[in-house]
Amino acid sequence: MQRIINILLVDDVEYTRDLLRGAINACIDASDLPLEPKFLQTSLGRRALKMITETSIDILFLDIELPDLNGITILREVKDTSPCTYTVMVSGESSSENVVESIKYGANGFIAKPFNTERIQESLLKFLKHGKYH
Amino acid sequence: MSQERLKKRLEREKLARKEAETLLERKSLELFNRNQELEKLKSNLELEVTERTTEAIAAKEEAEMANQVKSEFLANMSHEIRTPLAAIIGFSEIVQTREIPESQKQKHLESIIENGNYLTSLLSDILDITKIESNSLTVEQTMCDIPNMLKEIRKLYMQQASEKTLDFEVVINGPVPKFIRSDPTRIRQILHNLLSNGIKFTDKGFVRLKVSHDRLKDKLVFIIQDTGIGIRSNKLPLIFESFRQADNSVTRNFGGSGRGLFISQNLAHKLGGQIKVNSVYGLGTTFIAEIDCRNYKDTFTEIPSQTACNQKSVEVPRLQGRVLMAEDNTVNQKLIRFHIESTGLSVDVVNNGEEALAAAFSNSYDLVLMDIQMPVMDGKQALMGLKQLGYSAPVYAITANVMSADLAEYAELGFDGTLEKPLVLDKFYEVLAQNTANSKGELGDPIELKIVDGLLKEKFITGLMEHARAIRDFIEAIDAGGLMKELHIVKGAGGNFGYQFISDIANEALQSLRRGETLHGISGSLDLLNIIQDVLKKETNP
Repeated sequence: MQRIINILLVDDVEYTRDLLRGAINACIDASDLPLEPKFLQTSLGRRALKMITETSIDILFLDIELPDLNGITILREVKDTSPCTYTVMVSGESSSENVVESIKYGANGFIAKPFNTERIQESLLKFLKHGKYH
Repeated sequence: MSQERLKKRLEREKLARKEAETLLERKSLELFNRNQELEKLKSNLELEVTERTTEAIAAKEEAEMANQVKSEFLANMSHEIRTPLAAIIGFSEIVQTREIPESQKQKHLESIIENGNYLTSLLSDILDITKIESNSLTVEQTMCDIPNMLKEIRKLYMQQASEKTLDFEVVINGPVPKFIRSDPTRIRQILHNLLSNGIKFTDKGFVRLKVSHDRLKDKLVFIIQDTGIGIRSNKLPLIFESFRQADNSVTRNFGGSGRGLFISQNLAHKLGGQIKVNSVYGLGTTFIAEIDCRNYKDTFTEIPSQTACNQKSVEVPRLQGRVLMAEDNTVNQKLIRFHIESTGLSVDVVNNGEEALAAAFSNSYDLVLMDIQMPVMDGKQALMGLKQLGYSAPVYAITANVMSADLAEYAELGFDGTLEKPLVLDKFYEVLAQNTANSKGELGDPIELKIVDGLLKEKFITGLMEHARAIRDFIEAIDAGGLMKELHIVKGAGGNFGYQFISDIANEALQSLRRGETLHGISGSLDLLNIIQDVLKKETNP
């Protein structure tokens, strides 16, 4: 049974979003994951926060370095208002500070850019395993 | 009439007087008794005070005695720690600074290893003693394979005995329980202690281990017999006492601070038995160690014979892959790095849990080795972080804390396994081999993210042109902040479209700018621009 899920991609660089989408699709196809993703996207943090209140988002891929808001700030708000949204941080800097803050504020995954599909696949598998993210 | 009255009155008076006398007598008796009681109480009190004083003096003496024993133990300990340390440092210096023949070098290295191992066992003895004293010594209840244990022991002591030209044998007396529920590590510890004592204190003759089953008491009985120097009968009651050896001269001649017997006796008690000793001074000693063996399964009458391939030395496997190691101690870093690299694996070393998190998410590893006690962020916290973020590569704890309670805790937290420090090499290589050979097994090979989508690539190329323009503008304006932002974006994307070198050069320039080396950063950015031009030329005119 395919499960339809809403995935929100937040990154200020357009082709990074495209790349993420491509990678997510590739992972789902390659491992026959029972997921049918519907993609939403934005380049702005504030817009992302608004979208999350309007639409139920299952998985959020969230860039940390955004022009208007810091990804960690967004993460804190998302975990506050929509704790069930499975949030994967994406960052060009896998500095320990970024990773530690992500853990502290409840992120469910972390992907460093340039990314390979291994981390994305890990995130999707873990999302599937988590019963509570329905 | 008045006479009559007078007589009556007299009688009344007489009666009253008699009553008064009786009362007086009774009262004076009471007084006497009370007085007696008081006297008794007084003398009792004095006695009690004397008694209490004596007790207090005894307690004080006992405490002082215990204190003295402890001080002696500490002094002895410090001597025992210093001696092997001196050997380790001394031999290492010789090997490091002098030109010596290979054979001699080998001997020195053996001494270093031997002394290091000795220190390790000393430390675990001290830990055991602390546990015994605080009454927190616990034993496990798992299935023990007795014949296999005896096989190992026979192999080990056969060799040690032959080095001193002693005979050594293991004798099985009648059918003996094969599998019992007990603590195999602790049984081994008891036997190792008694057997190594036997060999240490015997110069000629034999050391023998007899194993039998006491069906009445349901005990497994180990008898360790030697033809050594023996123990004087007046010293026998002392030998199980902590930190005291029967004779100080024994300590001097043979080393050791008498910890082993104290620990072994306590262990035997915990295992539902005890250790007894008989000895004739000058002729030899017999230790009888019993442990509980209720609910045993099967019996055996002889130890399986030695297989030919038992005597294998540790073989270094040839492996491929990448390992992350988090360890704060530089000596351990070097040592573990050496062993990992000798297999052909590459290894990244970080100093604490936070650095481990950052590294784990920026690279792809087949295996993560995590020290537990580290500054900034310890191994347990780092593991929990990795688990929260869905990290899937195996993570092993690598630690000196390997008590069963620790092992259970690590497993509970989600470590895939625990490796002991100091490293047990064959186990270490086994873990490396298992995890690098099958590392991708569960998830399947990583999916190659091929950018075949022309549109996507076109977007990347268009983006690259824009970034190149922006980089040039920022260089002209000498705007380091803007430049860093652009470099950051280019670094993040290049690799995914087959241009890893673009990512690398962008990163190098970015790092220079971050360090405040503006000139370097700008010259790196100019290099990047040239390379982007080349790529754009190639992509737009295929």
